[in-house]
Amino acid sequence: MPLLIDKNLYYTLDFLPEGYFIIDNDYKVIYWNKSLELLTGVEKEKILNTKLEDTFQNFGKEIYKKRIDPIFKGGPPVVFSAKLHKNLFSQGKKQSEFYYQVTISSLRITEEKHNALFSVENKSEVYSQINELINLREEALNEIDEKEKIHTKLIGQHTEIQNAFSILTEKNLQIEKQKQQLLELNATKDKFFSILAHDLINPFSALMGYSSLLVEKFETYTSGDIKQMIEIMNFTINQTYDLLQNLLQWSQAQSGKIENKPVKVDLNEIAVNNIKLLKNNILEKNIEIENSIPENIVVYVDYNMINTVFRNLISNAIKFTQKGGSINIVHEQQTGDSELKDKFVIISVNDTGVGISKENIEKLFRIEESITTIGTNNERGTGLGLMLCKEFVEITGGKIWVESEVGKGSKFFIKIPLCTD
Amino acid sequence: MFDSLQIEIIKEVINIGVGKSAEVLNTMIQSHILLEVPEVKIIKYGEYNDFIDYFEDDNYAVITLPFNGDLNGFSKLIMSSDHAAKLVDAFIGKSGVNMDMDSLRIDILSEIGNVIINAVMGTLSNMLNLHLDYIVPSYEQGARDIIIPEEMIKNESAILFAKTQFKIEEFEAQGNFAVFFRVKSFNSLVEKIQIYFDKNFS
Repeated sequence: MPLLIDKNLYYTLDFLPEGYFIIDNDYKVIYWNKSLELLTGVEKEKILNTKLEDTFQNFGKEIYKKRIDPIFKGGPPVVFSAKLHKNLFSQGKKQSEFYYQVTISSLRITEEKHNALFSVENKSEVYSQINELINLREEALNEIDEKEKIHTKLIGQHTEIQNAFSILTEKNLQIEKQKQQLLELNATKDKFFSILAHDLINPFSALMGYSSLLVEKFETYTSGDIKQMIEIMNFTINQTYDLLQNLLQWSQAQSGKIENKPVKVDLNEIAVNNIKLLKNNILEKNIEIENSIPENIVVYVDYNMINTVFRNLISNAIKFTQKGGSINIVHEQQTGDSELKDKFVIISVNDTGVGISKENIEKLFRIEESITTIGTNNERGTGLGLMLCKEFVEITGGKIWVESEVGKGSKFFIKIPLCTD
Repeated sequence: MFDSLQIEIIKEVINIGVGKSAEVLNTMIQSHILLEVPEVKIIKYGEYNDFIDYFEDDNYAVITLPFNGDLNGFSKLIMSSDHAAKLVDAFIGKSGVNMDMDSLRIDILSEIGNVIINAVMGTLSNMLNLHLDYIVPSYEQGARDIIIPEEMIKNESAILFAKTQFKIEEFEAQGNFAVFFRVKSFNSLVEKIQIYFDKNFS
């Protein structure tokens, strides 16, 4: 049904708040309502009977014509959204400040002829609110961004501080370690001088005293006196020799000159040899000594080192066991991890001697705290022996420890690697 | 109602229409837009429930273009709200715009829907030589029951349903195009198709 276009329609459209205009198929403006004058600032008199694109150049563009043209053939209404076509009503180079939502409908004039009715709705207020919201959102996002940057920077600084702290802690540990090494070095030096000052001077004083007496007053002594003096001298010489041997080995170990040359060593043999060597001391104190190490327990260690360890442990046991006491050298049965059992052997030297207090046990193997105790027969010691034992056992990859009770005796354990060939 | 040949003709008309809308949409955005018509179905009144079950999302945006003249009915572009938001993103960019701003979304979707519906309906009326009068398009959003107009159910009409796929580079939006005809119109449509067939193929 053709729409009736007459002055009444124009009159009605003039009083509607939306903008309305009509163009013919040549894009010539044939109607322009009052609201449009306010919306676009273009007066009716100036635009009527002119081409729409003469005022609003965008309507001359192909992309718009392509969509508007079907209207003149009765095609369906066309919608231009305010957001996507903000500049549809721009004049010249001046950009539109307004947002217009445009709907174009076909007006049938005759059977074949159609005009286009444009409805223009000002959506600027809505869009200014939308834009305001978008700006606010952007501001908020920027603020969040800024905060995140600060946060990231703080995390970075925190990490740097943590790293610096780790380096400092590491350095402190190194300093602490160096301090400990210095303490040990100092203790080693003190020990060395102490041995030179006392342990070595004293026996020589005794030897010099007795030998002087013999040289000067030999004729005045009975043969019994002379024998007694020579026995004391012999005893002192043996002890001093032991001390010198230990001292030599210890100084070599300290200066790193001692070489670890592992060979196969039969532990039973080592024990038997050392018992033989210390036979006089054992006999003198009437000590019963038993070697329970089975034959063919073969370890893979430096011969001199393991020999020094056995000598010192047996000699210490003799030194701190009263007359008539007993010493037992035992091959310990191991429990637990079978793999470890196949790799190591544990030997203990047990005595029924004076024992060691708990307090002193802790100091036994530490050079900076070493203690010296006089034996039950006034034997002198330097405390050097056990330190040597510890040093040598550890070089072999083994371990040394002690169990003891005052008045009941001591058990010194060594754990050393078995020969696995 | 329609034989397979007539269905093929409708398919072709829709295809051409959708192709034209793609051309227009491509000039509106930087990204390349691809529209397909993989499927065209005629749904009878008795199959309305099955038809509505096809729409599984909670919320839909629907652009409706009512028409009368040689045929009476409604053309509708139906998109789930999620896909509608994606489509709007493609036109205005993702940054800075909150998609909950209904006014903005309605404006843009109305125009996009208008482009697609106009192209299809324009092609349909041109090719089949139909005289149609149109009423200004409307936008609705809500649950899926807004898809079928109540008036159609009362009049026991049929639906010409085309499933349309939009592919816009990084954005992937999917929409459905449906034309609801009153039963009376169907007879006119069959007639017009027959004339078109006789003129072009026989």
